[in-house]
Amino acid sequence: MPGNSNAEGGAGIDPMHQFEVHALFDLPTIAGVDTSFTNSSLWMVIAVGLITTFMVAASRGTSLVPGRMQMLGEMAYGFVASMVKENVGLEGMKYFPFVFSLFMFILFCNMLGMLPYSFTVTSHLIVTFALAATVFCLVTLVGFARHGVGFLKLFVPSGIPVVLLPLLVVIELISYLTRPVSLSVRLFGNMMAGHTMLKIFGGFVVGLSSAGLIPLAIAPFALMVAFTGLELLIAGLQAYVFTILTCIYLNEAIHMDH
Amino acid sequence: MEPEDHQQKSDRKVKSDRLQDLESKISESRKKRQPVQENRANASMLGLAWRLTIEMLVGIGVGGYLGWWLDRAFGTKPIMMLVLLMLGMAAGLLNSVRTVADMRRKLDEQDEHNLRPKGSQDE
Repeated sequence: MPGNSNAEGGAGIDPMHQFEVHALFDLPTIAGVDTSFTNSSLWMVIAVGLITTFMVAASRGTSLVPGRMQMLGEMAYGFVASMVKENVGLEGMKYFPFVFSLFMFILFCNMLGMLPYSFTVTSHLIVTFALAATVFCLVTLVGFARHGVGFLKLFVPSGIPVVLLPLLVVIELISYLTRPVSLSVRLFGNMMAGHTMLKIFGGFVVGLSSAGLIPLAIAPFALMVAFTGLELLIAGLQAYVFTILTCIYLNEAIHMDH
Repeated sequence: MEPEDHQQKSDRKVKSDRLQDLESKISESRKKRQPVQENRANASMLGLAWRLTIEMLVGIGVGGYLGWWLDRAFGTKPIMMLVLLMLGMAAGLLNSVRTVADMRRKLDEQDEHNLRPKGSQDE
């Protein structure tokens, strides 16, 4: 969110203000869950709307020689499809719709977060954790559905003396349970750290130039331009990392090779 | 006949000279491009450092949380948490070792691809 400072008098810019969730209009609390429509929900809806528009525009009026939109759509499809095929194999294409939706949603949320005055949905741990928990549940279910109780062999490392086995099984189990947490913390941490940094440098620029020290503001401004580029890269990269790890976990659940 | 033959020979010589020139030019520009690759390696190292840190911290966090939860469920106040904190550290370390092993394998594959002798099939 470069430069959209809610300047409370120069230096008093709160870099965390951008992460505040507030209700846009109130809805009743159902079974202890506040269902109010927040700015976070709004940006999720915008992301989903944009993805739908993009894919519909890409697949409308398809022709043998693709136009611009069709080209973009095919690129997105091909990118995720090759990722799934390489990491999971052809059987993995069954789960392609899930992986593709996941990738597009994270990518669009990250990229929309780079717009000034927008809200970065993926900079909240609960959002990324919900995504990671979905992946975790799906992978576990797929594993048990395909291998039955045999899926538990995943937690028994081979070639280990029997004495050490109980200890190692517990460690493997914990290591399996850390997956959704590390998956979500990685995405959340990257997004939040980057946006906080952008805001702080933006605050420097605004503070220094409003104090009449415009020459001094040039250095943080240049840094901010560079960081904005870096943030764009990270936004794409983290969507990719999230998706490829999903593929790797799926592969493990389907083929059970460590 | 003779002068023509001579002509051809010198032609060939010029050609091979030019080829050698080209070869040296290519290898020179290859050397120039190396730093770019190094930079990219550094960037991916930074990413790796990020990942390892998260992996280890998350291991401890999940272990600690599980222990706290088990303690509350069974009323064994400090024991489970201490044990599971240790196990969580072990799990975090295990995860990071696996991450590094994966990374290594990928880098080795890349190296193999890059170091393939020049002039073999695809070039």
